[in-house]
Amino acid sequence: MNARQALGISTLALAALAISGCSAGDPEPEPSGFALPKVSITSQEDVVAKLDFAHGIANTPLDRISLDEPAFSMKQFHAVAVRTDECMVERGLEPVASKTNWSPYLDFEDRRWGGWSVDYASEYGVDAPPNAGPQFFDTLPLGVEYNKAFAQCDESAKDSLKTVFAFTEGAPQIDYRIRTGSSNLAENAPAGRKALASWHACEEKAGIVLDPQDGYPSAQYKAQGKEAEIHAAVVQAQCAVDTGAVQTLYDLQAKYEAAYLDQQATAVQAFVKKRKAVEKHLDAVIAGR
Amino acid sequence: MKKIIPVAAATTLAAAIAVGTAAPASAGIVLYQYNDYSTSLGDFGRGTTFVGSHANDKASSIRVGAPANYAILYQHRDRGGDSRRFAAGSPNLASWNFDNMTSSIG
Repeated sequence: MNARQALGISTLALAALAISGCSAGDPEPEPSGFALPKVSITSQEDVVAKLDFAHGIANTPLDRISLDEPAFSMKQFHAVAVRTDECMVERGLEPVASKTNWSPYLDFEDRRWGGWSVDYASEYGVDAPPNAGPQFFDTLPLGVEYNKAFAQCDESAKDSLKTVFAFTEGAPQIDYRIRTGSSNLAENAPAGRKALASWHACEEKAGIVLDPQDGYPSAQYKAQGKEAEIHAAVVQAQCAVDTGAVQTLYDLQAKYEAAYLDQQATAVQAFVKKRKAVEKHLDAVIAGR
Repeated sequence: MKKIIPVAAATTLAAAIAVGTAAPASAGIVLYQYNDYSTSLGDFGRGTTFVGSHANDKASSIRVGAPANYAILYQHRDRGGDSRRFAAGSPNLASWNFDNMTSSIG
């Protein structure tokens, strides 16, 4: 996405917020569409993000209910794997779900505004570290026929869980709307803009050429080879930390999330209730019930 | 931001719908230029730091199939910007405010 598109969407979102014309004292509005109503963070001063700098993971208030949370995601993957196995066994093929560790995984680095794990950047450049994200059993060595059947069984497994996917992927739930709304507000807040500007200025001072479209180090660094890619990625991450920009941006996001969790309490409560019901269904599938 | 489908492409699209648009067996993460899994932009396996200029900011739907177990769509290259995770896919990325936005996939 280029900067013009991003600006367009942000502008539309902000315009929608302005049109809503709500203040902190107004009754809670019913959410509609995608953008959420205006929210104030003046009473959220104590809310901050807890940053894991080694892995580039930001812990913010929404994590406790997010559908992207690793424990919930893994249950969904596990349920699909169990149903896929049932289909494979019916075809006389080997089940593989038990060969995967279904514990919550180490999440990917959150690069919403760019990379900020110096450790990762130093070792992997812009590539994802191999230990991040869900680790699945690799079926490819089991051959052509096995994988043809596996793909078909995977599809039928997902079809059998369509009520789950209707909830998690059918349309944006309140968690996603709060997350995206909060990050957009964070980067458009005066303190957020200032933080991003100082981050980028630090990179340029270190001689890194930024892509004007997205503010990231030029794609040419990756094209020049791993050494150049790592150098640019390390500068980006080091500047995120040294300028305090990454902490400022995620703190702002955390405050907006907390404010939205309060403002949208009724919708959040209904969402959490549905999330629990879906989780219970996933547990039942995993248990073979 | 929706794309206008030319007449020739619309004919192809109608034909594709008539014969079905299911992803081929063993496809991984497949992006499509239009809604409802129409006109593949390519199979991206288990992800990429850049989808390529032919697919950049052009995806309107996505399917996730084995061997990929999930896909994270990112707004910018190198897994940056806004993101959205899918384990099955979406026939209409506009409903996620993610139409014509994908630049990399995790």
